[in-house]
This record gives sequence, C-alpha cells and structure tokens, in this order.
Amino acid sequence: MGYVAVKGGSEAIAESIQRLKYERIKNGTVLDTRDIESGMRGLIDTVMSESSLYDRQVASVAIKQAEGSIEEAVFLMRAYRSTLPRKYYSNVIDTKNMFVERRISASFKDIPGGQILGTTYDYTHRLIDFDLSKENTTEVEKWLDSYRKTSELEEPADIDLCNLPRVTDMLRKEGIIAQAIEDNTPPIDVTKKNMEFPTKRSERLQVLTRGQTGAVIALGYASLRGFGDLHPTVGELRVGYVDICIANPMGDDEFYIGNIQITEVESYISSPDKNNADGNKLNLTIGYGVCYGQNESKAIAMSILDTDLETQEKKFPTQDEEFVLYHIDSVEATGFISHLKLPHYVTFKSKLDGIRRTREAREK
Amino acid sequence: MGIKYNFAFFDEGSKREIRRATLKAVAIPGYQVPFASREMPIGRGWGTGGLQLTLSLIGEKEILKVIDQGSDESVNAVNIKKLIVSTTGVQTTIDTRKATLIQSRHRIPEIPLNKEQILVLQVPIPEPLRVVEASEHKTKRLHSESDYSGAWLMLFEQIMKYDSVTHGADYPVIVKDRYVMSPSPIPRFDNPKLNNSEALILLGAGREKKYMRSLLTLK
Repeated sequence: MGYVAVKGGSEAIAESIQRLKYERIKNGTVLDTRDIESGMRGLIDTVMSESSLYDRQVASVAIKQAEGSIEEAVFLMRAYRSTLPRKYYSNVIDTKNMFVERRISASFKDIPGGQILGTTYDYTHRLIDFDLSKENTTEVEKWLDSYRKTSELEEPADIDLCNLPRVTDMLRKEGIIAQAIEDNTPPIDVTKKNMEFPTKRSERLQVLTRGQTGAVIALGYASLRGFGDLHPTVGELRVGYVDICIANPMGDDEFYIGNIQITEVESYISSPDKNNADGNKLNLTIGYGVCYGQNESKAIAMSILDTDLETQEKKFPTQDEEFVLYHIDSVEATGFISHLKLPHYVTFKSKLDGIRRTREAREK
Repeated sequence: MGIKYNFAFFDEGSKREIRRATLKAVAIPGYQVPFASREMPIGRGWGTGGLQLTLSLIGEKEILKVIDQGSDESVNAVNIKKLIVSTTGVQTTIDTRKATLIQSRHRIPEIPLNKEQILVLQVPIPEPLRVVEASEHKTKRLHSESDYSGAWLMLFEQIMKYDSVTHGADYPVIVKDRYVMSPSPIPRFDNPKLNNSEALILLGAGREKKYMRSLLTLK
C-alpha cells in the first residue's frame, strides 16, 4: 500500500477549511442572518422540513454557514438536533383549529368558508423581475404603507379562520369516504426506534415528512405518471399555523409553548369499498401529507406516497415501503453517496487482487 | 446565540440510550442490534456508527486512536479524531499499544489487542445477505431462521465461475455458530484477527442504524 504522508492529512484539511471560509466571504460582504430569515422563506421552510427541526433562526444560521446549500444546511441542523435533550412530546394537534392563511380545494369550487388563495406562486408568471436587483428600502416601505392601508379598509370576511370546516367532512356526511377506525395508539418515534417492516403508518408519515423535498416529489411524480396506481384529487390543501402544547405533568391542563406553520394536504383516491362484499362499489380513501412550513409540492407528493404505501399488493417500487422509506432521507442519501469520495485504497486493492486472481486462474 | 456543545457531543440521555443498545450487542455476538442512530456532524456513511459508539463510550481519561484504511493520517481519520478531541479533550496516540479506544475504518491493527482495549469498526452495510436479498424484512427473517444458504451459494458460485472467491473484503463470518455477520469491509486477510480477540470489538453502522459485536470461534 502506498505511503500516506504523516502530516499531510491534517494540514491539507486545515487549508481546505480555510479555503471554504474564504469562498464564503471573499467579496468582503457579510450576509446578515436576519436577511436570510426575512427574505429566504422558501429556503428556510425546505431546510426546516427536511431537518425535522422547527427553528427559523437556527435554520438561517445553517443556511449562511452552508452558503445556501440545502443538503449542507439540513445536515448541520440534523447534527445540532442530535445534541438537544428530548424532554417532551407535544399533545396531539387537531389541525381543525389551524389558523388558516391559505386553503384551496381542487375537488369542489364552492366549499364552506371559501377558497382562500393566500400567499402562492401558483398564479404568477415566472418572468424574472430584473427590477428586483435595484430594489431599495424607501421603495419597499412606501409599498408596504399603501398595502397595509388598503388591507385595513377591507371588510373583514365573516369567517372564523381558526375553525374552518373541512372539505372531507362534507363528503363524510355523504358516506362515500372510507370509514377509518379511530386509532389512538401512540405513534412510534422513528428517531428513537428503528423502523421494522412492515411499518406502522405513524412511522411512514414521519419518514415521508422529513424526506428530501426532491426525492419525495420525484417518487410522488413517478407514481402519478404511471409507476403507481393512482391519480389523486387534492381535496384540501391548507397552509397555516397550529398551536403546540405540552401536557402539564402536575395536572390535567396543558402548557402552550408556541406555534408552527405547516402545510397540510388531504388527497382523495377512489378505491374498492372494503365493506362491500361484491367489490362492485367504490369509495374514497384519503392520502395525507403534512410538513413544516410552506412546502406544497412536497406535501401533495407525500399524500400520494402515503396512499401508495397503504396499498397491499406491491406492483410498483413506489408501493414498496423499503424502497421508498429507506432512500428519501437527505442526510442518509447524501452521506452515503458522498462517502464514495473517501479513500478506498485498501478495499479497492483487495478488489483488484480478486479481479487479477480470476484472470490468472483463467489463463492457467 | 452562542451555543456550547456537550462533552462528547451528545446529551447524556442519548449516550445512555446508545450504551443500552451496545450492551445488547455485547450480549448477542454477531446479531445486528437496531439502535436510534443520530445524525452526526460528519457525513452519514463516513463512520457515524463508529463515531456514536466511540462518543457514548469515551471517558475523560481515554487514549484515542483513529485509523482509516490503516492510516492514522488519512483525511477521514484526522477529521473524526479532531471532532472527538474537540468535544472531549482526550489524549490521542498513533501507537496501538497505548490506545484504550480505537476507532477504525476497514482495518484491524497489526499488533494484537488486549482486554483493556475496545476496537470500534465503522460499517457501511452491516447485512451480509444484502447482496442476495434487497429487502430488510426478508433478511431479518433469514437470520432468525439461520437460513444462510444465500451466503454459501454466493461463495460457491464465485468459485464455480472464477475458480476462487472474489470477495477481497467484507468476507462473511459466522459468529459463535449462530449469526452470519458482515465484518465491515476489512480485507479478508484481517478476518482471523477478529477471532477470539481479547479486546472488545464493536461494529457500528450509523446510516443503517445497527450495532454488532464480533466474537468468533474459528475452527
């Protein structure tokens, strides 16, 4: 085996780390993490969701340190997460009481409470606004002023945004939603206990929600396009805030510890009615997607994969829980791929020996 | 928001949890014990299983040695050592005899280890049957039924096809006549060093979330 210079490793690493810092600040400007926090909402939401750590401040520092690389920022957040003591589980959150900022249904035009477009890129033309390169604070303040004034003048709508009726409830009354048995088994925490196959739904949903955005969307897309069995309809997509509470160990009440923004999706998929013996009736099942922040494509893709993984007969890779759940985690996927850059001098040498041996044996 | 990291990186609760899984691994040699693998500050696939073992076991008086493919100064060994030292302040050495805790990737030190020492090996794919069966659900069953025909067949086919076993590293081992174990990709010529080693040899697969203990009896 080749000789590895005794001090080479340490010095080269130290230089490489210096070089990394240089690249980040070489222009002499310092990126304020508050700028990231206020201007990089999408990036922060993606990073928090893939990290399973809801903290906008820490996320913005991670994004700064990672120079905007999502996989690096998520990696930093996950490693930081490993150092935090885990003291409580929150009480179950009923998203019925979500403070809704955006809510749409692709299934019905008229829904109780109405369609609320809220904040979305959906209807923008994706034309680069070159004026943004010249945007300044005076201009921004002026626009904000007039925007806030007009919003104040508008009549407040007569709807309770913390208690919007669900689209699903309408269908449930009709009896065409598959009746799910209420299941209150405490969820398994996948960060405390390894998945065992076949998995429980609570495990699947956790792995999906912390999955790498691109991976979740790609697999959801594959399923939708043909490598899966379904074309769902988005029954309801909500973005809004939910309150987090923890139980009071001394009493029956609970403590409010803050709120988080989430995206929640319920997709409808028609499937044979299990309670119908002849199998000639259909009903709707619900695919569920939920994630930190506003990550709509991810949440919808998650609802597709949730349904796929509930399927009993596995015809496609997207229905194979080991295939999906083992490969969509950002830190795991990027970690193993990047380990290929590590020295494999000894392992590769023994591989070569093996190849040479077979060649020699054949030549004899 | 200045934040200080804990001794040996983890909070104490995490260390205890990891040690509990390790105890199980010690008690059932060769068995892949699932554990709640944490994300670490180094790449998942770069030795995080070994690192978690090391950090959960390390005390202030430990003397640490880290090697990667046989070298103390390989980039990854240096990097892992730096992280452990910066979070614990322990002494390090390149002398195998002086070390109390050795973390290694894919090599076993040439000098025989003694019973005061612990060797931690980093494992990428702990499942010896993965090459013949992709599904974890199925390989778990094969282990429980001691059905290792897949592993034997794999070796048999290599001999039939190439006149020799082509496994240069990660040559499967049977531990105490029970579990077939993948000895991390140490080269095949290192395998006998696992046999009845006086030192405790622990194998950690961080990304695959499994711990194992090696304890062999070669016949």
